[in-house]
Amino acid sequence: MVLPKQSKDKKLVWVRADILSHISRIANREGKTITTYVNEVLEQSIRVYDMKLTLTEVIDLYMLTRISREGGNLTIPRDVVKYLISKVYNSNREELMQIFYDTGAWFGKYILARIGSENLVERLRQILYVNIWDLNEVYVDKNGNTISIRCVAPQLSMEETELLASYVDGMLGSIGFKPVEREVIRGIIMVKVEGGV
Amino acid sequence: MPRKLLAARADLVDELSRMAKARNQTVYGFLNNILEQALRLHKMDIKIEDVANSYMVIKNLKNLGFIPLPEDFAYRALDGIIKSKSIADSFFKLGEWYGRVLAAQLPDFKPMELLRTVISEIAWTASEVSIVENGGEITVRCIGPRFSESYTLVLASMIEGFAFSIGFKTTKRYVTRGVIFLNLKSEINQ
Repeated sequence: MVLPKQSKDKKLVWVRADILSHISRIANREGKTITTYVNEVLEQSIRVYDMKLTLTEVIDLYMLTRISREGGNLTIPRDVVKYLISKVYNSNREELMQIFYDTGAWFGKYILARIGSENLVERLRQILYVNIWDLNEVYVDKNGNTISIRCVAPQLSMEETELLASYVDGMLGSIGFKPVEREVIRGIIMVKVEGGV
Repeated sequence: MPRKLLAARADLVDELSRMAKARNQTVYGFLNNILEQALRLHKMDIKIEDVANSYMVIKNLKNLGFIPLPEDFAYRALDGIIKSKSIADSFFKLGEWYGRVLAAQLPDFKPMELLRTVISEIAWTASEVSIVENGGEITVRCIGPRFSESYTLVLASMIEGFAFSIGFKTTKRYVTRGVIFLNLKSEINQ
């Protein structure tokens, strides 16, 4: 419920007392009034909601990105991978695929160690979105014991898609999922897995 | 659960009410959730503004073709590529292009804020990133003991290209493995 205006520029709103008490302590420590602190929070939240996202989603993605980076992922232009593929993919395809598989497997274990297995299936979409390339869309659906994963990135070449699929296979395998179906075509990875930790 | 009244800027409360309504939520529930998330971040010593800025820049970098790649693998790949000055030039041009596109995509960011956020997001393995603006000059210092020589060169060229896109030209440059030191001067003030 929003109460009528109390002054020219401010309005009063109800908030949970325990939350307000925490906010009050933080604002005090930062040398701000509660109103200033809350205004700053609201301004940033509105910015986030304007992107058609929720604050919870943005914070979750931010935290996963941090975890991913702390796990050794570097953000670089895709042109570097394209160049690498053009140089070594044809001569060393199997080796390159194995490197991507092993890297994905390590990353899966790492993620499990960092965030635990609770709600892992629900978080899988975000993990995949944050950690794999150029993904426009990631879908994760659970039906009984089977989990369907679809990654869509039409701009990827066949070679890039295969390497990425290998990374995803490694990641899913290391967190205990067993493949049931797998289809990889240029720009699209579709897998069905069962199990999990 | 006991409640208390809180004063906030009227325009923000109005916007909040509109958003809560659009989501079929009460303002009370919606606001509590936002403040709970802010407290969650505070516990981790993270500012909500940094999260929003980071998300916006990462999302756009991703759309522009930046990808996560394991660090060792990326360094090895770059070592294989960076053999000539022309490659560094192409990363300068890439940086300039990223700068122009991101500025167009994120008009709410001030150029310096955008430069600072982009460098922090790309060079996140750096142990130290400092960008100081003084008058028409910017000093960029980026130290990354783990950087390979080729990665340092690529990163420096991209930063210079990015700075060029917002009107800054390099006047002093020191780049060696793991160390980037750039002095940039605004062309507008020259």
